[in-house]
Amino acid sequence: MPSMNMVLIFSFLLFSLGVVGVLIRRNALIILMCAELMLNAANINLIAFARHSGTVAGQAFALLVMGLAAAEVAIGLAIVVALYRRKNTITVDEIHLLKG
Amino acid sequence: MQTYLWLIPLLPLLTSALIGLLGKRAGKPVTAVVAVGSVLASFALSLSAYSLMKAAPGFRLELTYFEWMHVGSLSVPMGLVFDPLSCAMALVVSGIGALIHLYSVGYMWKDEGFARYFAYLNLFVFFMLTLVLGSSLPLLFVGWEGVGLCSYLLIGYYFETDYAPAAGLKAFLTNRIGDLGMVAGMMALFAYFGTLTMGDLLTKAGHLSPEVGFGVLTFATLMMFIGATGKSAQLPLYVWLPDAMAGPTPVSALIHAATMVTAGILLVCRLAPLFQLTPITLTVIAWVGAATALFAATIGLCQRDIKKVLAYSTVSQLGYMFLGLGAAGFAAGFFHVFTHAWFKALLFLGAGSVIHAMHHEQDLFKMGGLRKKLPITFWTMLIGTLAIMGFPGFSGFFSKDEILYLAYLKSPVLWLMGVIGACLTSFYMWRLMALAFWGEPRDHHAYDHAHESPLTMTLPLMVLAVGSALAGWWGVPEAFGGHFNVGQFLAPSLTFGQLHGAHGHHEGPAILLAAISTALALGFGAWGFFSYRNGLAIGEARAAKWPTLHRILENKYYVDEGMERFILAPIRWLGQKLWRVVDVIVIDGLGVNLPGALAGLSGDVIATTQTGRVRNYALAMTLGALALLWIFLK
Amino acid sequence: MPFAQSLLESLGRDLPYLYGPLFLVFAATLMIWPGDLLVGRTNKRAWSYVAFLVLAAGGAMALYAPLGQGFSGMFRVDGLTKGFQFLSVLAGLITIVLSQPQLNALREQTVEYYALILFSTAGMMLLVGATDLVSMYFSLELMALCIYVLVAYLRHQERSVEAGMKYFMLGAFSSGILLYGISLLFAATGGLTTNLAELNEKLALATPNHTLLVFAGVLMVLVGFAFKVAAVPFHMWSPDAYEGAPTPITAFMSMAPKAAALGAFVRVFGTGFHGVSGEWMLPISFLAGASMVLGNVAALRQQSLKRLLAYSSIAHVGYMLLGVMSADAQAGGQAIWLYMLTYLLMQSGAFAILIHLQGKGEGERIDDFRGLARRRPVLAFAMLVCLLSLAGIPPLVGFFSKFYLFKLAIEQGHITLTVLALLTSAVAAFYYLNVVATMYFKEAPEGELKPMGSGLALILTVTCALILVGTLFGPKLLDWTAKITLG
Repeated sequence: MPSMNMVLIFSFLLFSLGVVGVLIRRNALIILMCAELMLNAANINLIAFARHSGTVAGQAFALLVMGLAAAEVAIGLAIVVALYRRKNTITVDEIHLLKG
Repeated sequence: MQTYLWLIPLLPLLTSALIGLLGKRAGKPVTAVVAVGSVLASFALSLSAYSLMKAAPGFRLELTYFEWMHVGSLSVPMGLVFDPLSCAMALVVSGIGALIHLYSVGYMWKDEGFARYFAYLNLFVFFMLTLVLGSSLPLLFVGWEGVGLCSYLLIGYYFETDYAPAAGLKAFLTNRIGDLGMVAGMMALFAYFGTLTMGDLLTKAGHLSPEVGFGVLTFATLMMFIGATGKSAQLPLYVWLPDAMAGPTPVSALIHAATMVTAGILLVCRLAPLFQLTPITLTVIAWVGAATALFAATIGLCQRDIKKVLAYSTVSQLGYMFLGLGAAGFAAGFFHVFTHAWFKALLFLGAGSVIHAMHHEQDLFKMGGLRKKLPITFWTMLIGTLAIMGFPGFSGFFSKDEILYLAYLKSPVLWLMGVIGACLTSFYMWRLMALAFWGEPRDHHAYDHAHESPLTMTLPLMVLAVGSALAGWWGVPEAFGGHFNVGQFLAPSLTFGQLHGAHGHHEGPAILLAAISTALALGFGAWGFFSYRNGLAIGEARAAKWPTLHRILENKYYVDEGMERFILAPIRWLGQKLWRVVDVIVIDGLGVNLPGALAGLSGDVIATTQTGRVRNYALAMTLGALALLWIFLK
Repeated sequence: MPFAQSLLESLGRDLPYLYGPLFLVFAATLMIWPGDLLVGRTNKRAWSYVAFLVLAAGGAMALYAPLGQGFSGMFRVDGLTKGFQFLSVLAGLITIVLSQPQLNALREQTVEYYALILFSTAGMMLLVGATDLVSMYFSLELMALCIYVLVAYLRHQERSVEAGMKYFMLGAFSSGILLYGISLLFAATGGLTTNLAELNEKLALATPNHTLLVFAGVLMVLVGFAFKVAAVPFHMWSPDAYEGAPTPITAFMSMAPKAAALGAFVRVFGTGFHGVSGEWMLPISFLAGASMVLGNVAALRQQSLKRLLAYSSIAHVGYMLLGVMSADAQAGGQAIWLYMLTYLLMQSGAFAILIHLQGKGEGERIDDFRGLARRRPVLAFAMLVCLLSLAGIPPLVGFFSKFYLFKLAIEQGHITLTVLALLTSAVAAFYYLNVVATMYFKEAPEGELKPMGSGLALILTVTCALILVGTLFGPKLLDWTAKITLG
């Protein structure tokens, strides 16, 4: 299945992009976007393999994941806004009151 | 009809809860009556248990109330066992416990935490009775842990001081090391026998022949012995006991001299048929016991604190008990537990009476001349001293002599160690007596205010003194024309129906050995007494009357000093060094503090990695995932 | 309309399995709208009673749900499901009671707070019954998303918001990893199934060149679960989140989601990935060992009791992972369930006292417990019982639950790990006893303590009584657990 391997490689690249983004970016909004990227990498696998096997369950799964991603972003943005109100920053490195 | 016997341990528990909850409201008199009464009731019930046991077939009464634990093939009943060993021990615990309770009423009367104190003390009696009477090892272990907890609470009783809580923690931690051994031993026994009920275990053990070499049984018994060294303060886990003296003095008498610390000996006696199968373990026990007996006695020589002297003396006496066990003299070891409970409780309570009179002064060098002020305390403590030094006819004489004789049969070196220990014991006890009761008072202020203790305190002293004098006649060894009744009494427990061949007595020079050790002990006692009785006090008094004599007396004093410098000082130096090197550096440093410090340090390191920055956390997660991948690919 | 008819038929057949969680979701929605419109601004306290009753009713429905499997094999009700659902509901009920003192003191009573607890509990109830990676993932997210918000609930407190942000960021990150792992497993089956039972058959048959795919997928799912239960090295959110969150929510987090996630952990790894257990046994044993060591050692130096409990809960998870590693998933699930039940009792007792001492939620240092034995002897004794039980000192129930877990681990041949567990639990005794020593041996600070509210007192009494009574029947506990979790 050469084409399926290509799909896997592509989705893995997308996933890695998300992981690296979470690790190196400091802006809370960008980190949020990178986390979404990871979800979408998974979506690509789900849809491609569902198509490959000719069933619909995987595609339905991907649709639900998109809905979930929207909910996650909503909550994430709410928390980031609350954070900005308290601290006037969304740079995650400047937030380290709790440690030890 | 025997079912009510469960009240023996439960009465103290019930009253402990009552006192803990309502003690403050009920007031001190009610608390005192309830506390002492419940332990007395336990004592009375134990007496009836004793007579029931005597009538039971095989001198063994096993009561099972319900099945407590059923896991896989492991079934543990919640039950009590009454056999000669447990009955004798229950009588000691509740009997001496009742006396010490009574004494505590006087000693703690002015303390604010009167109710709290008795709640703890009754809880202790409950756990101790559970330990003694429990019919299975897990139940015994519950009591074992419980008495440790109570000891911890009572050592730290004077929480205002710095050292008391620290001492409590030290005791608890040291005991945990022993507990690990105990758990490992129980697991090994369960793996080997498939049961942890005392009766089944010993019945199965009876069918085995002694183990050659190092096998499962040796491992199990050695682990049990490690547990015993923790609880019974043997080398190298003895360190907590001297510090435990930070607690109130009656606690020292009850828990840290008469009952709890003998739990290790009790454990070995309970499993005696098992230990008899493992010669290696017995040898280890004998040598550890002898080494502890000698080692602790040397330290006892140079202590100034009256309770510390008695504490090291306790460690040393526990060593004798283990020496007896290791020499396969289980009855002898237990006999010493029995006599020791009387005279050591007496000595501690006497010391408490002195401390009470001197307004909590514990330094021997500040006492002196108390003989006239505290006549009852003095006379009773004198009896205790005669008992512990092994004065012929007193209780310690018979029990210690039996142990030394058995040690001689095992190895003359062990006997020699024991005899030297006995000499030193005699020396430091007479030094203590001379410093406290003879000579002139060295602290006049405290002396003038000193007064004899109230009757609640002196009555237990008198009862214990009678016991200390006479307890030994229960087991006059055969060498002295007796029948060693203790051995016959305990035989059903110790051999558990299987006759391992009664040890052949009347071989070896029993009377000669006893004569040598007694003569030496008397000599050393006299030496200790005379080197500390006179000194400055007598010198000054006579100097005023006869100036000529003054110089001679001073010279004599000088001789004393010289003798001390050349003979005693080295011993004392050794004791001091041993105490410093072993206790402070090796055990405090490496044993207790180092692991704590290491753990704390690594705790700091971990805290540093917890930077509070969310990206570092994500990085840690990623690295962790990669590490797992690497583990797999490798 | 044959389609609609068959849909209705299957719904009628399958819905009874879900009455409990569905009821919670509907009731919570109605509480937010239109319910909240009818209640005045000053009467928001009333919602706590409503939420309590709703949760209790939902729990009862779940408890009486029929046994079986539905929704095309996505959801299954068996003894284990009911057992863990019971734990989650119980933790939720306790949390609602524990929340009262602080929410009243801070004037932060709102309907959303209770609705979020209900939603989250519904997520947990679904999670423990999920037998398909899809339903498992979504229930997990339903549970987690609500808790992110609850952690950041005190939005005027810097600590609370920071804790919420950290938990959320890392949670989203781990959720991405988990989902990607699921998609890889889906790919490994050739895009055919995500059902655990079918996965189990398919994965065992996977061709050698699929092994990396299978392993990577299993590993990523493992990371996702390890994050949720806070196992080392995926634990780093938990001390910060525990410290910053409102204290009742800290209690909630340490009990309910942990129980639910562990229940799902056992089901997914014990049944779904059972066939490839060779692949994940070693990684999990590393996680377990690292959690025991790090959790206990780090707890030694903590000054804040909330942080201490956070680190110690990492260690407790390390012990419970021993149950996940059991080849017999049923026995592992039982041991974990019992451990979690006793842990829940001890934690809620300890948190009740902590919340009482905290007042408005500022102080939580171990120093605040100084001399408690003198100021409030009964409270101190209750705390003593909880702490000693947490430390696993016999004969308290905490000892028995540890004992069964370790015994199971030994039977399964994990000797080294069990020895490590025994050693580290000796370390644990040290820091728990440090708190005891502070209560009993230190001078009390000045000032009077106000009397305890009836809600907290009730919880404390019940938990302590259960711990003490359980002590008597400790050895029977496993039999009962077996009866309960077998349905």
